[in-house]
Amino acid sequence: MNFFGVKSALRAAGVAVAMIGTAGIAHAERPDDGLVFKYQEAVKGKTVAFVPISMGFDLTQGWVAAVQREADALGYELIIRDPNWSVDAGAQALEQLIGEQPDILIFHNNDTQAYTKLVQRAMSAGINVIQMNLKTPVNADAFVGGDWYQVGADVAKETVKLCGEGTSGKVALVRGPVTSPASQLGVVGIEDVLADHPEIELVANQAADWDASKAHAIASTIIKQHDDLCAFMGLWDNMDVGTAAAVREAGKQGQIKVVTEGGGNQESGCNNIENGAFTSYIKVDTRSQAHQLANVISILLQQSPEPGSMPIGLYTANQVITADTLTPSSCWTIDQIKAGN
Amino acid sequence: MQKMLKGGSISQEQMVLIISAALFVIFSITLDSFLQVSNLVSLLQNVSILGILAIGMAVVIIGRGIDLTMVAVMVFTVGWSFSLHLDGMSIGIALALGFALALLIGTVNGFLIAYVEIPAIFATLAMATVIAGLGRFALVESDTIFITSDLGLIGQLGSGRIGSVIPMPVVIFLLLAFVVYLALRYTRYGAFIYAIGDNYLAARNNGIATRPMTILAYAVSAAIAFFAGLIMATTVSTVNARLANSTLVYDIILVVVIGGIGLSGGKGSIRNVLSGTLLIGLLLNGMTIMNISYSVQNIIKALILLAAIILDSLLNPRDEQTSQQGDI
Repeated sequence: MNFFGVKSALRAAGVAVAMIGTAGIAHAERPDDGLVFKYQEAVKGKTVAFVPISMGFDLTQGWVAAVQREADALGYELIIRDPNWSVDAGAQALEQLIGEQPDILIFHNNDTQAYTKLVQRAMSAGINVIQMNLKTPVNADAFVGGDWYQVGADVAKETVKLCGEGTSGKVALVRGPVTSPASQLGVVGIEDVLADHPEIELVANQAADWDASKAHAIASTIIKQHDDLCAFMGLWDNMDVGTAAAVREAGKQGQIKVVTEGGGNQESGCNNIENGAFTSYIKVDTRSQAHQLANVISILLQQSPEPGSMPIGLYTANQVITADTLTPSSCWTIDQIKAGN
Repeated sequence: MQKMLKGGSISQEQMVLIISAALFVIFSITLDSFLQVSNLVSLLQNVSILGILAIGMAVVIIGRGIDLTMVAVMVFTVGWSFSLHLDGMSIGIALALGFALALLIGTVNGFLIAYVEIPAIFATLAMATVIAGLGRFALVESDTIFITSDLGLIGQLGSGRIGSVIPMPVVIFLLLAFVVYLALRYTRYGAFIYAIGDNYLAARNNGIATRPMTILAYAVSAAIAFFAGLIMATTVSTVNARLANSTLVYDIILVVVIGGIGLSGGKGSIRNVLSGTLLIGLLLNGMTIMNISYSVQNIIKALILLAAIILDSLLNPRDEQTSQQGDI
């Protein structure tokens, strides 16, 4: 147990009026810069709840690694309810959490529409809401995540670059589930860019449900059908490893390009760029999303605005990675994020 | 209708083959690159994993059961093996452990059905959830396990080719089909499974060890699921645990039922699985080439399953002898 020093007690007294509650005894040892105690007070003991699509994949693990680190350092509680890809179970978990009144509720929408009402309900119950990576049509206090339209557009632009003069110009699209916001918006982005490039012919457009072996089956059929195919466009590296496997199997690695998108996980991203499976990779950096998410949580806890009154958006800047631009730090591992890198 | 179908001396299997032949001809004429060896090979490759799973399911269904755990067993046992391997265990031991786990799960399934006497559909439905829960909790860390190391010969299971033409998955599918065909047709265990599926009580009264046989059938389907998973993993260098939430298990049942193996048990053979697999392969290949949208593909697949089940109930009508409580 520490005791107030005379000096620090006097310093603390100067700001005590402005402070809600009392400064923690442990903090009183350090000099006050006028804000740091307020900051620590505002976040300490708060509750932040997150309902991911599933905790079982790289993106959510990356985000949680960073937020958990910050929660431990600052003393707020992070509650995670994992519905394991079930939209129903997710809705139930969210209902339950709205009843529990956390300070912040983080939505991760696997489906464009499913949680729209719940976002509104949570906000009218006085909870600040963050929508993570996948957005419903309604605005909450913050959106942190990929600009999926732009991701699709960038995938298409890379493809256009690779399939210009001297190639067949034939490309195929392997998309995710029809109801996923990332796939929906990404496909619109792709279509809009391709509309400006009549030299590129979209010969196939198939959904593989984010599943690598389905993507493999579809891609291998398309390759047989279009021997001179120039490129496959995909919207998630986890699925597109299947497409890349089909290209490799057909002995056409390098000839048929694979352009994809991902969070920049070392295993699914950079390793596959290095071994030539992916030609071009649009990185929607999970690492920077994770830090942004942690920052937005900190801002909302300090300001606790009227829910929905000042929606902010932090759209992840895309980065194109190819074998030429690949560096050892282009990608991340969960352990690195956990360690604060 | 029933009389017509039976009297017309045309079995469901033959009908499926006729439909397949018709589709084959239509696709060959209308689709540009359908009729080329490489496309037909990839057609077979794309359904070979489904076909392998369907062989396991067929064994169980012939014994008047159903195994809804196959997909969960497939992804989590194989996923566990590769997780162990990536953590440093030698691949041989890791796979042996995964295989042992699959056998254990199959045995538990069989025990619940044979000894605790829970209807197969409920026992395996519950077990599928248990396996998926346990798998996420204790066996694998991530939904997608990337196999980053070089597996050597084992890697060839999924991505190798014989004579650089025929993919290994197709070879394994046909080989397994042949082995299970022989086992069902020429061994007494095979005969026992037919007897149990046809009339459980009569089989028991005749001294067949019905309970151990049931356990054997589920252990076989779990073992086959493990091999299917291994092939799938080595084909795409990933294990996708999300498949446990997918409708893949219904696709497996679709293949079995469409081929003409009655859900009431005791009927059908591996030939039916081959014709069912062929039809689904033709459809998937044709629909992909025609670039039909995902939702429409699902509708077509679902309608075919419905038609097959209606046909099944017409050809194999339920009566007092065959329909029992807990029947699927």
